[in-house]
Amino acid sequence: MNFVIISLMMAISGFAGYIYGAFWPIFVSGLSGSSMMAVGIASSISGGIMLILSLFIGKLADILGKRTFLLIGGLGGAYVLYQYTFITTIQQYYSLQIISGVFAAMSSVQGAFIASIIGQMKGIKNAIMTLFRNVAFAAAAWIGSSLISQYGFRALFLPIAVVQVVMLILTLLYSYSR
Amino acid sequence: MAGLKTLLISIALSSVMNAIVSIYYIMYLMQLTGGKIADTGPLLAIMMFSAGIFGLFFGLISDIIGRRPLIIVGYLFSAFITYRFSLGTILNDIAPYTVLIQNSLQGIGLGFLALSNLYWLQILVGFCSSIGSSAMNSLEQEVTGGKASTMAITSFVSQLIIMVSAVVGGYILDFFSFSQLFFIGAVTLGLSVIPIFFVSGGRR
Repeated sequence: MNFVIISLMMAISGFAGYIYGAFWPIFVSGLSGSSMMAVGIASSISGGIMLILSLFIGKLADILGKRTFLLIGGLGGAYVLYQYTFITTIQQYYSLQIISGVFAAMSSVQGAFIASIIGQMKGIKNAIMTLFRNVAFAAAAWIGSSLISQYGFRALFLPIAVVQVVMLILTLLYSYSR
Repeated sequence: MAGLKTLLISIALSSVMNAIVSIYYIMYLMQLTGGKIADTGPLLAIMMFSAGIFGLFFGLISDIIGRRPLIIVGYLFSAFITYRFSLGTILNDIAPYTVLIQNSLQGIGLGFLALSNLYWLQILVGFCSSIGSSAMNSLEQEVTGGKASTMAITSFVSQLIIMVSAVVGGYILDFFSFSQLFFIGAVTLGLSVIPIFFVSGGRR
């Protein structure tokens, strides 16, 4: 039961996130005048911050608890996503990527957090979780491409951020009830 | 924990391909569809869906026969398909098979399922990625014991390589083309199989 509920919550959150997550290189290449190098740099900035912080986050989460990191990371990540609505230059995007990297590093304890609720996800359990996620991603890609074509990227950032925050809070509340 | 170092080498090599798929594949699809975002969504969706469905099957198989065989076969097959992508002939390569599938579907009264070559290509990509992915996730959890601090090391290595690959990939695309990018992806993914033979720990 734990497994199904957590999988569904992750799938809904993944659905919202992947509406942007699938197409972000197109958004960035639009900001940078079609430079692929800019897409790579944008990805590497948040990746680099995550990389440095991940040296400490794993150990800190084992000591201080994963929920705190997930909450701050999730809320901060949603706020950064909302801020994408207002940016117009690639430099502004790079700045937000730095902040995004900090929150993404905090959220990286998610895998270990889920494992602590439902046990290690081996074999078929892992595959079912992946199926839930992939179905959500598939729906997000399909619906997202249509929404982006009609309304553009900027109209979608706020709804995506709101759904992610709601699912994060529900997941944390559920984990407390177990 | 004995197999962690060996596993890290494999994760590092396969992360090059992860960077290519997660960052630049959508741009490749845009190129294939003539720059229409609305057309790339269904293509991406069908790849994800195919990966999920086949992943369920291969996850079950990995519980029965062990992680290693599936990772080796899956990664080698994916490397081969990526190599065909780099030659730019992948759509022509799959054309005879798609005709065969379309005819078979029509033969059993399911002609309405007829899809274009691009969709069959995406199903193939999803299939390839699904063979080894659940097995690799499971192997990683088994070798690290699911401990957050140890899993952070694997995520560190993966992220480092993705970061470097993202910038190098952007450079390649700005000055060369997708062919070179896919070729590098195919080679590194193929090489990532070698350490798997030597990973100790995990099931089989």
